[in-house]
Amino acid sequence: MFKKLMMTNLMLAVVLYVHAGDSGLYPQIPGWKMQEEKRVYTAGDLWELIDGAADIFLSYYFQDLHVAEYTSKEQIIRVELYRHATSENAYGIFTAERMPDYPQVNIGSLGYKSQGVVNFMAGTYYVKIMSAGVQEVDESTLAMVAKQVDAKLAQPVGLPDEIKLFPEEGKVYLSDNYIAQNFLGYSFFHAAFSARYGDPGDIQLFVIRSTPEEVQKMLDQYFTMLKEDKVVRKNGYFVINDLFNGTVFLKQQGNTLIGVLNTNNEEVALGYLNKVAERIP
Amino acid sequence: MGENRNFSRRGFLRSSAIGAAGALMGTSTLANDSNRIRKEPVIIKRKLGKTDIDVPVVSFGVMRSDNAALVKSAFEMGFVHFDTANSYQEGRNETMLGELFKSYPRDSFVLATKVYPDDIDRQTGAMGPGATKESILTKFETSLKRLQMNYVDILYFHGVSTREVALAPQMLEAFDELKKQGKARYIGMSTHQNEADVIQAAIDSNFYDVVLTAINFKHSQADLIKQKIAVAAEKGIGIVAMKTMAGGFMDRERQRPINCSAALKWVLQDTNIHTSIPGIVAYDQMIQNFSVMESLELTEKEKADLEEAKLVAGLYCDGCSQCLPQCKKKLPVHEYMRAYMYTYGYRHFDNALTLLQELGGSSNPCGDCRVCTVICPKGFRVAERINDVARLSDVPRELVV
Repeated sequence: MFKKLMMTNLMLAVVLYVHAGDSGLYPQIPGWKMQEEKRVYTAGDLWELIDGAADIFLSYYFQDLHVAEYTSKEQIIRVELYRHATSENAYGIFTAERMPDYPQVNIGSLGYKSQGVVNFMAGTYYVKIMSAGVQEVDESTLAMVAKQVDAKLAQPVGLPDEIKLFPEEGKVYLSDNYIAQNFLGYSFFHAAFSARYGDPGDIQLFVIRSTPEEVQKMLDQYFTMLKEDKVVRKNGYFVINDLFNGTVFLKQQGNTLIGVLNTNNEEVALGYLNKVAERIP
Repeated sequence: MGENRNFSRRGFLRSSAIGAAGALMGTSTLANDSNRIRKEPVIIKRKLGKTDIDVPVVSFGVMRSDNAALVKSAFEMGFVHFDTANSYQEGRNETMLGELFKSYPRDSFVLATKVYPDDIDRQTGAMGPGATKESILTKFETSLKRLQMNYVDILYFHGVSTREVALAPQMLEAFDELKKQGKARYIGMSTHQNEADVIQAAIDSNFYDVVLTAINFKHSQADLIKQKIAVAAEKGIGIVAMKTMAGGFMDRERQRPINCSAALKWVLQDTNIHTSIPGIVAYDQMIQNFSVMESLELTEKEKADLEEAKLVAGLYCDGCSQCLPQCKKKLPVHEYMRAYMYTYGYRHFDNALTLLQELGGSSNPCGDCRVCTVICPKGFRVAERINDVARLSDVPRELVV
């Protein structure tokens, strides 16, 4: 029994688990010594490292965290590689923690820096590079390490395709994100991409993609939850009075559910719905 | 212990939120009882030790939610106490709460946050030279700015795992200064590792007003922790419970959810525990958690559900190390349990193999031991698991990676 299970698992592992161990994840950095002890955290013990913050990582289908430290004299650089199930999930947790006002850097996808820190996304990884120690690590050294980590990971560059559905005009800078579970607080909604628009940036557009059947199922569940008089069916879209989330404008186009929140202006909302719909390939 | 039952101060609950929530729960067990969702829900409040904070026994752990509408609904429904931390979502969690609560009277809610110093090993708890008073003060100033508040109600020393850290003079000095400045009404510490020792340190310190501790029906140290909680509560320390849902699932595939209402009731039946902060991310969870206050008595089914969940040994070794002195072969049993978890829980065969090789690489570590002398507090059949996973040692690494 074990043998059978093991062989199945091993075959899966060969296909799905492509890491060559920790040594394959970390670059050698000239002038820096990588510490022997490299830690791996899983969903079962991530909280040991980041306490309650672990919960939100788990909601983005966290797989494991690899941690290594490099030392040089009295300086320490710590590399944290959070691996998630998909690049969408890595993007989701990255954007959940992203500080839009931090300067961007050209490292990985969406890299940014703050004092003693460089964070970026690389494929299924959310990468955090941070420094500690008596002496501050200079910015260029941190960037050099980050670039080498990115190169070693060799992940595809880019963002989820769904981001392209959001029109650039009027979009609040770096407001796009991905909610993996319980979008709008409802467990029946599938994962959603969203972005903010307008001035002061309150209007929220969202996109949920699945199969047409699943989209219809989500709509049915949503409408069942709401009372009938809370849903107004218009020509090609819905206007919903959602007690928790306010007025919600919804449009189904094939396998895509498009929504607009935080505005009562139907004309404006319809404009956004149509703009997104036009961008669906 | 000061416990009182009253009804929600907000008519909102009856007229709107619960009504919608009832509809929301349309496919759930809660919604099957339409009378139940129409009546005013009971709110059980307990006083948080010697503080002047009197809160419902069910509070809101915000750590998993970046949905301001959800938190707002919870507040309007009757949740009073909201728990966050400086580190959650790199600060965005605090920022979200600040934006939300700025339009409400400051005394209408209880806000708790947490900070830890720089240069602290989050796994061992060891503090380096950078773990200074100033690092606490600086981080907390950032928290206050994000929260758009002049003070928080409870400021926790975040994630304390040793007595030494709990009593570190520079930490006590920092928190004391913040309390004297009125920026933190009460000082607490949070712990989810070595909890019993840490709570004892809080008792001995005569300093901490509140302890936020991990406790649940499956916790291997539950009895000991509850003993310490009783002593702490007797001394006037407010007790807040976290990790009450014991991970939420009883199996490694996360297919068999734990009865969360039952798990929460199990914790709250102990009146020395004054409130709890389950993480909430959806409206149905919000309603379900709040509704446990209708009766904290466990039904027969809930008791059975908890028994079942306890019996399912689960996968995760929490590293208590009680196995070590029991093993005649002096095997690092807990490490083998970790290899088992890597193999069957996460299918990380490479990690498992690396660990097994570090342990000696034998495919038969139990050797000729006929009777296993190890009694695992979590009920793991350790010999069975060791023999099972150790066979991976014979698999060539090339096949694994």
